[in-house]
Amino acid sequence: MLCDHQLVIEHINDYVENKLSPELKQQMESVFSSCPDCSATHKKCLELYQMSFEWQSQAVPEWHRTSYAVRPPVKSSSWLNWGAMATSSLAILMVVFQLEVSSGNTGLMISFGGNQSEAKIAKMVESQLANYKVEQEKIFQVKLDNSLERQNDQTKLRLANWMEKNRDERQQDIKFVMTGWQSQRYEDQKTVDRQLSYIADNQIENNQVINQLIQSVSTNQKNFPGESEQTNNL
Amino acid sequence: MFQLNKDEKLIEKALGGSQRSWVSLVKRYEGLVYNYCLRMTFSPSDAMDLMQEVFLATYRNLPSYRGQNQFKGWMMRIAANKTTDFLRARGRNPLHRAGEVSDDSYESPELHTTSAHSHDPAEHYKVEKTNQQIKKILDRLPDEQKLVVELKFFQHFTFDEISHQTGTSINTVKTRLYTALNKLKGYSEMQNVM
Repeated sequence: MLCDHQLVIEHINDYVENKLSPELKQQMESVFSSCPDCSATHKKCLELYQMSFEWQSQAVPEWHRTSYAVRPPVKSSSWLNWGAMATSSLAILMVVFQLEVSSGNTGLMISFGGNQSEAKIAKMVESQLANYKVEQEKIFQVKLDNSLERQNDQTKLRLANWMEKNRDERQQDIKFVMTGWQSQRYEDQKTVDRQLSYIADNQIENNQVINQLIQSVSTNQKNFPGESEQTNNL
Repeated sequence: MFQLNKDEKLIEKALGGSQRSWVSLVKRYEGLVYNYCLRMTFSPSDAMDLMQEVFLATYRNLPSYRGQNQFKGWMMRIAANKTTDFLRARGRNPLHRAGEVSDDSYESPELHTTSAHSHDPAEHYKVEKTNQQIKKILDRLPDEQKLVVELKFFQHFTFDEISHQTGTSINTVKTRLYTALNKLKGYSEMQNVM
């Protein structure tokens, strides 16, 4: 029968440690007797198991057990703790003894035990409220003045900008009109020049015709003097 | 049970910032961890470094310790992870074989460490010789098989615990152990140890 060693793989350790049920133990022993390979494995496992008890435990060399791991405790400054404790105690005492501090016409008054009468407290509250009202009015007035001043400045600035912009637009309009007028004038001047030139040309032609006529008249007088005399007589 | 309760108390105090409790906890387990590291690394200086890494990681992870498992098992899981990383890193270092287990045990640096047992030179030699032979045997195994043999035979964890610590299945752990046993078949040093 071929052995697939699976039983040995599964239970060899438990067999060596004697933890198997009698049935399994018997099966294992049967495998060991039939398979020399498994028998050798069992032998080696037993040796290794026994060998593990032969190890002589070595002492650990001296080493620092905390420097690498434990952070040194953070030292907080003691005066801070004492200061905090003193302040807390003072606050508690002030509450316990009902410490009251008030300022009036006679100056600063510190009293213990809450001996301020209701009327005094009411008067004090009223006075404080009046003061508060006056202060608030002052603050409101200052804020209003500031706001008005700011608004004025903005208006002036806006006006100045508008005027500046308007002036530029007017200047541009005038320039445009002037340019148009100048170009129109130039065109008119050109027309006048053209007309004058035409008149001058006509005058020259007229002069030439007149000269030709004069010449022809003078030539006729030379050729026909009688006619010219008659003509003159006439 | 008493041991477990004591562990829990020490952990609680250490988490509260008590150095003394942490030192007590370390002293309780340092021998176990150091010898484990020694068998895994075969070098006292490496074992010392690895042990410090294990305790540092344990301290850093202490707030996440829930107390459901035994502290020893939880810490040995950290140790197994650290050992795997350490051996992997050392495997990449070409100089690490310089620290290989020497045949001449008298030259081993381990002899210069303090032995917990006897100051008698003959006894001392015998102890060192035995340990050297065990280390030589374990050195024949690949790291993952060595880890399983260590956790099973020397730490006496169950397969379930080993599976949890190494992050592998129980079948894989059993197969690794069987393969390790087969690998050691050819060597007769084990008989000399006993």
